[in-house]
Amino acid sequence: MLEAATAAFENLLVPTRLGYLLIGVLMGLALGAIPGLGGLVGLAILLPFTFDMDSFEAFAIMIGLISVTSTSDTIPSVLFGVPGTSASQATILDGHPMAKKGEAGRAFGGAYMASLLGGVFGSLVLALSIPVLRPIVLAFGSPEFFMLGLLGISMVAVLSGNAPVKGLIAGAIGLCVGMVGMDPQTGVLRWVFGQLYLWDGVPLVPVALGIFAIPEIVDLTIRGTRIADVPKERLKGVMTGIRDTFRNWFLVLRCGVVGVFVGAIPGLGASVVDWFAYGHAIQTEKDANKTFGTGDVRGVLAPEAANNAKEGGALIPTIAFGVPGSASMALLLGAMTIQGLTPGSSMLTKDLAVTYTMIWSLAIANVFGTVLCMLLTNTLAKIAMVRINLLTPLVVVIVFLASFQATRHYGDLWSLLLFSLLGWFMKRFGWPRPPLILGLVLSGIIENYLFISISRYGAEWMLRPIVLVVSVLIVGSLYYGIRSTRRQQDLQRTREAQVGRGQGREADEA
Amino acid sequence: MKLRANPGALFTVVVLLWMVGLVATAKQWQYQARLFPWTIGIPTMLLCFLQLGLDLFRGKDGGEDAAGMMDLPVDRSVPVAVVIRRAVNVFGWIFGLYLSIWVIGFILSVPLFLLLYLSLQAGESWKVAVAYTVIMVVFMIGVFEMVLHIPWPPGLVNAPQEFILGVVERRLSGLVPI
Repeated sequence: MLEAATAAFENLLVPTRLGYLLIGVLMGLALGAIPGLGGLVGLAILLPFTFDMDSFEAFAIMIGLISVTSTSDTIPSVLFGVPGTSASQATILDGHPMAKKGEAGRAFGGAYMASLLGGVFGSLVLALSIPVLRPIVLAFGSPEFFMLGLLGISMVAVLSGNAPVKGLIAGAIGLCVGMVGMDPQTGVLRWVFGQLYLWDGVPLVPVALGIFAIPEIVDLTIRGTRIADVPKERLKGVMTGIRDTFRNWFLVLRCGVVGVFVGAIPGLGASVVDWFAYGHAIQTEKDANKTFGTGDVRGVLAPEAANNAKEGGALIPTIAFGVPGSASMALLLGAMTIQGLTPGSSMLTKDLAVTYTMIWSLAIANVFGTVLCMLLTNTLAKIAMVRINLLTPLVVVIVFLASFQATRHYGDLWSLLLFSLLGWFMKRFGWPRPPLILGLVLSGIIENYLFISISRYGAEWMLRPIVLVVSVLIVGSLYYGIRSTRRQQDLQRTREAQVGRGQGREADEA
Repeated sequence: MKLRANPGALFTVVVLLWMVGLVATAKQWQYQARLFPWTIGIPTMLLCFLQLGLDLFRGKDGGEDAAGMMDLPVDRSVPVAVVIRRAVNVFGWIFGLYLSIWVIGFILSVPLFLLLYLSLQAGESWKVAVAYTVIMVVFMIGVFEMVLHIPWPPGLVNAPQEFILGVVERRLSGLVPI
């Protein structure tokens, strides 16, 4: 295994592959710095351009991109109080007050170093988990993988929003879209409506771009204005922030663990990881209840270490079990399929070199990302302030060109338009979109597992011990999701009632 | 319980009808081909009915701000009427770009779209619009024509696109291999 890791490192050191990794990192830094866009949109745009690359190049550029959005998203969070991505919301609580006190440089120094340590820690855990996971994964058969696929979709569906029923339906829509085309078992043409374009199924690229990229750019355009002005003063105190990170190394390490753990659970991920880490820091750090929220550097270190560590955690179920925990990981899984790789046992045996290349890419991208952020913070802050009017036509044109790469057929553009509308309506009406992408990516895989399970084991596959355990987990996750949603709704109603009573009293007094 | 008609319920109805259509059309397929569609489609239809009930009778279900934890948040500060007007406007431009690509092809549509959008919609000066368009066209030809060798789809009126591609090929063939 050590040999495979060394060989993968040497593979990645080929100049073209390092070049692709660097391009991915630069794209990721720019996307992370622009509030409203993020790694997911970038990954969807990038996906079609990886078709002609080899696996090492493709994953170098893609992992380069997703690894560092959580590093540069600190810039708008600290300077303007607007999260660059959903993973840096908690950073605002102390990062922005630090900027107001003239300590933005210190916040950046700490955040970048914590991001680097968190990211490298995440990749280390991923590397160490492979020998542990290998015997487990090899013991799994088609029935177990089928159930794991369902578990992934159901967890993401119930946890990815406050409306578990909508999440489940969205996952099912994705599964149905994935069934379009010729059924591999029987040759029956399913839902192709006489269109030759649909015989091979609906391609992932226009769906992903339509569901995520266009709705985001439409919403940014609807919102219209730029977010804030470019800061004029140069940043000072970066070295102090770096020293803060090492002074609080144990907090950074613990939050790295939180990040890996949250990242590895399907359905949690970016939007909660920073809050988990921030909450953990408040509970465990000395005098946190007095200083957090007022510009305490530890409140920046905690979420930043966790949100970079989460990618390592998220890659564990994606690579080992083919269960992506988020929409980004679903797109990465789609890229694996396009590259002819099968997630699961083969990624831990015959394609181990690719797996280790992904791990090295993750670690090296974090180093690149941190160094570049240290050097380019002022430039990235200007990118964050680009006028939406200039961004919209650029993104629309790139999305059209990227979408057309899927099969180079007009149908790709039709799919893009159709799923753009669907994605925008889903977003506006509060339907979570990640389950749809997960369903689409996993549809073919889990249908195949279901077919093999039935033809090989009959109905007995349902009684296999691991299948039963996973079934209990599915029911448990659904129950938990629905119960926590109800609690949130009750809480919301109580708050609304209190606000209503307060307004009533004010009106009476008036 | 009070019935509460809302656009969210209408969207659920659309999804429900879609699911009914999918399940109904699968009926004619042989057992193996319809097993998975029905395994997923029939429970989903039931879930759609449940969601419709929630939309119509329960008021907010976490509802329109539901896409919280994993999805990107929705900005609700802009009034709905403005949102609809601007969304129609942006989608109009996007569909317009598609129509233009269909009629005259990518190569002409992209600069046309950029110029018109930047000057008419975004209110940028012609100088900025032209500079931006030129950079974008150079990028498009450089990456998609010279590096990726995209076979550009023909438009209904294809002669202008062919002419431009011919000129580009002749001009650049001496400089770099196309």
